[in-house]
Amino acid sequence: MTHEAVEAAVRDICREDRMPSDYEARLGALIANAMRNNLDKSDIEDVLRLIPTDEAGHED
Amino acid sequence: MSLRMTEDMSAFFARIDQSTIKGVSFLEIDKYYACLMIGLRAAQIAPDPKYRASFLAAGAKFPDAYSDHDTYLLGLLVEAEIRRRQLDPDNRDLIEAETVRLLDPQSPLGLSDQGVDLMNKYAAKGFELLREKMGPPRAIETFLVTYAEIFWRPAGLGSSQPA
Amino acid sequence: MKIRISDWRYENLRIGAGTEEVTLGTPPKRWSLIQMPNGTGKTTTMALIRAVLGEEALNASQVRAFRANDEVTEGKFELGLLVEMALGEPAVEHRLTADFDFANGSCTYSTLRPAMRSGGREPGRVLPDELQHLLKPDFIKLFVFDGELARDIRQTNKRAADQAIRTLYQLDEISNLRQRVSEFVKTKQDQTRNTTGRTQKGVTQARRALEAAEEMLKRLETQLQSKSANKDTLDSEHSKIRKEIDEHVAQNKDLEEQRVVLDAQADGLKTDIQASAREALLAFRNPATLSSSVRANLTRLGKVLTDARLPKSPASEFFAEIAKGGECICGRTIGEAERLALEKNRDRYLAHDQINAIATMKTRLNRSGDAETDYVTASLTLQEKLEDQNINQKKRARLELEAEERGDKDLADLRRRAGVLEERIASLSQEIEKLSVSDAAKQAALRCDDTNNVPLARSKRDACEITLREVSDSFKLSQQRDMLLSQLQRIEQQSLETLRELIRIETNKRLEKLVRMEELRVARIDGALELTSDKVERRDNVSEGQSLSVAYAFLTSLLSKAPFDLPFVVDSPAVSLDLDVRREVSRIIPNLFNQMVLFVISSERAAFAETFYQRPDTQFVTLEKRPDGGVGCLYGLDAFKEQTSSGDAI
Repeated sequence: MTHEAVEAAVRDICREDRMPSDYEARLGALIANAMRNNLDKSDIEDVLRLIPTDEAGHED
Repeated sequence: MSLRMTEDMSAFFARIDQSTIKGVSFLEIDKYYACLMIGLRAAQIAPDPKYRASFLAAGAKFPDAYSDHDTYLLGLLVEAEIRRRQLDPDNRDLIEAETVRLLDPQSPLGLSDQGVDLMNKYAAKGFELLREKMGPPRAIETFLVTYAEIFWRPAGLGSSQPA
Repeated sequence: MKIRISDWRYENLRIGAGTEEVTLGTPPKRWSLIQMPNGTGKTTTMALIRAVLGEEALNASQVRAFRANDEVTEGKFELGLLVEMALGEPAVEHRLTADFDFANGSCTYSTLRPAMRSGGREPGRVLPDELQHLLKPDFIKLFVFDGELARDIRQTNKRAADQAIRTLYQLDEISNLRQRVSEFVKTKQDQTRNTTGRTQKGVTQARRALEAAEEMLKRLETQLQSKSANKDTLDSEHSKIRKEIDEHVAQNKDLEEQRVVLDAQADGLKTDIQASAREALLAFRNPATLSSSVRANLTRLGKVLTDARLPKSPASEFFAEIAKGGECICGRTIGEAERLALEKNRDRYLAHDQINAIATMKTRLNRSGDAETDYVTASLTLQEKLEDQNINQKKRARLELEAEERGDKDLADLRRRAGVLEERIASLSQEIEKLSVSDAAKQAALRCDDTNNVPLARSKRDACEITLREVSDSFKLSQQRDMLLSQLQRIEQQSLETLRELIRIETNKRLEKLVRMEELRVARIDGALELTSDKVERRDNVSEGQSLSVAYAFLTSLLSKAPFDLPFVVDSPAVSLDLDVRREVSRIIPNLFNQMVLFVISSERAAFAETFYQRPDTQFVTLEKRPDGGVGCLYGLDAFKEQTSSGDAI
């Protein structure tokens, strides 16, 4: 079980960071599964892959 | 474990024309064999050659071009080892043990692992001796002529006399 | 999920030698007051309940501290739990057991589920999955209540209040998740070949390397293209000039006739050379026809084998059979020593298939003398033809010279131009070969590298591309990790703050009822509970009773939010309270939990335990030391009322 306080925090932080729409649900599931001892490494990878990055290598 | 050429051997023959002569082409095994015969005749081996990957597939037999003569190749290896190790040819136990050491009828090439290793070392040494006598060949025809000349003139190739 | 404690059993534990069982009623009563004199094992019982619930790893001295006396070697504690998975479902009995081996100082946990009919004890603590995961020592302390905790909750340096919130709402799992994310990314990055460039700088470097490799490839491709085009032009120019030369030569009738003959001869020679080259190659491949010296070696080996009468007839299998058979063909018995010698030495003999191979070889070797065309003969023919070809080519060139000498002035120029072109074409061909050759051996022979050979430059470009992809993936992953870690940390922090506030409000609601005499409230939760009252801004000096009330209010607020309906077990709850506070507390507290197990001493009867006398759903248990060192267990109000502080019931 994830308390609604945690769910609300996930929602707020995702909005604050302007994350893609499907990301919030996946991050919420990641945390819920971590709390339920129900986590696979690939879950972490899935969530990481959804995080947009700056196009690498255009410094200087 | 299979037949392998050295880096230098492969580079030496690299510029030879790949075209076929009336349906017969000059193969990787031909290059290897040319060197092997010189090494076996001299009964000399290269102790620690730098090999390329094998030109035969893992577990392959001698290619068709040599399948009629493979027994000779094995025999020549045994014979060269008898001379190189200076084994008494009249000591039947010794000669029998030598054949047991080098040959393995169950393996694809008919050679034990040790036999394959030695054959590669004879070929590697043979290449060094060959290189002293000719430059990198460009055509099969001229190579065949030059190579034959080397065999007419055995002197200087370190051919040891029969025991 | 509803969890109830139904009973527990001691066996040879500190409470007393022998076996004793404490039952809380069937079904368990809502309130159980267990009266035990000081020093008879209240703390021990609390510790044992926590140990079996938490499957705690106990060290040898902790185990030995539970020992009844020096005579007992083994002990046991068993806790009966009734677990109702969902409302209305029958309760399933779980008996959590700790077996103590006092000699070794070890403790083994097991579970018995009588309803499961699985037959006997299962190792370890076996509880429903959700509960199993949540029941960690920190969490257990919240409901098998540790008196220490009541004080710690108020101590700012202990952060016990925060920890309680974090435990109940599993915020620690978010911290653990952050750890796992870091580990995952590290493992992932360690797998890639390029470990230097997971920084922005590394990405830039890899990108530049790729750009350089692409530029080099493009340059070489352009070179190859222009050289090939150049060669095509020269080739066609050359054949045009050759044609013109032929036309000039053809102006002399006699020369033209000779040319036709020579060209026809050249065609014939070409065919002859191919035929003899083929014959020579085939003869070359057969060691028996390669050279007389090789043939001599073959015949010599044949003779050696024949003279040595090899292969010998006995095969190694023959000796193996004798060794196994136990008796030699001569009738002698093969003993252990003989058997070992036979086994060891049979390797020196050939196996059947080797004998066959050598027999074949011998036959072939002895026949190698009568060979077909030998290589030397074939190569001599080949050489002859090659020489003829050489002469033919010279004669052909001679014709042109002849025509030139007869006064054809243009021809000299044409031949000179053809010669120049041939040289340029030859050198261009070499350059093109070096640029375009893809065979590894040829590349090595021509000293090709990725700056002068198109295929190698292409491989380099591909490798650079892979490196760049790996490096930028790795860099990207680092960025993503940092983002996720930051988010998880902020989520954890924000959740904690929300929950603190939620619990604070809830706690204050309860305090309002519990501590009516003054306005004592929780001002904020920051690690610990900070109090305020109407009198002073921050109340750091509150009485023990007030402190306990605050702790209870906090805990019940917390536990009321738990996903499970848990029993509440507490040791001496009223002992430090003033009588006034006791009355308040005993009016409020019993209604906070659906099952309470209260360990009390006789002095707590006044104004506290006695308030339960009228509550029908109460189990009164009185434990007392027996003269024999054992312990006696009495049920009912009468015995409860009579125990004195020394522990004597009467």
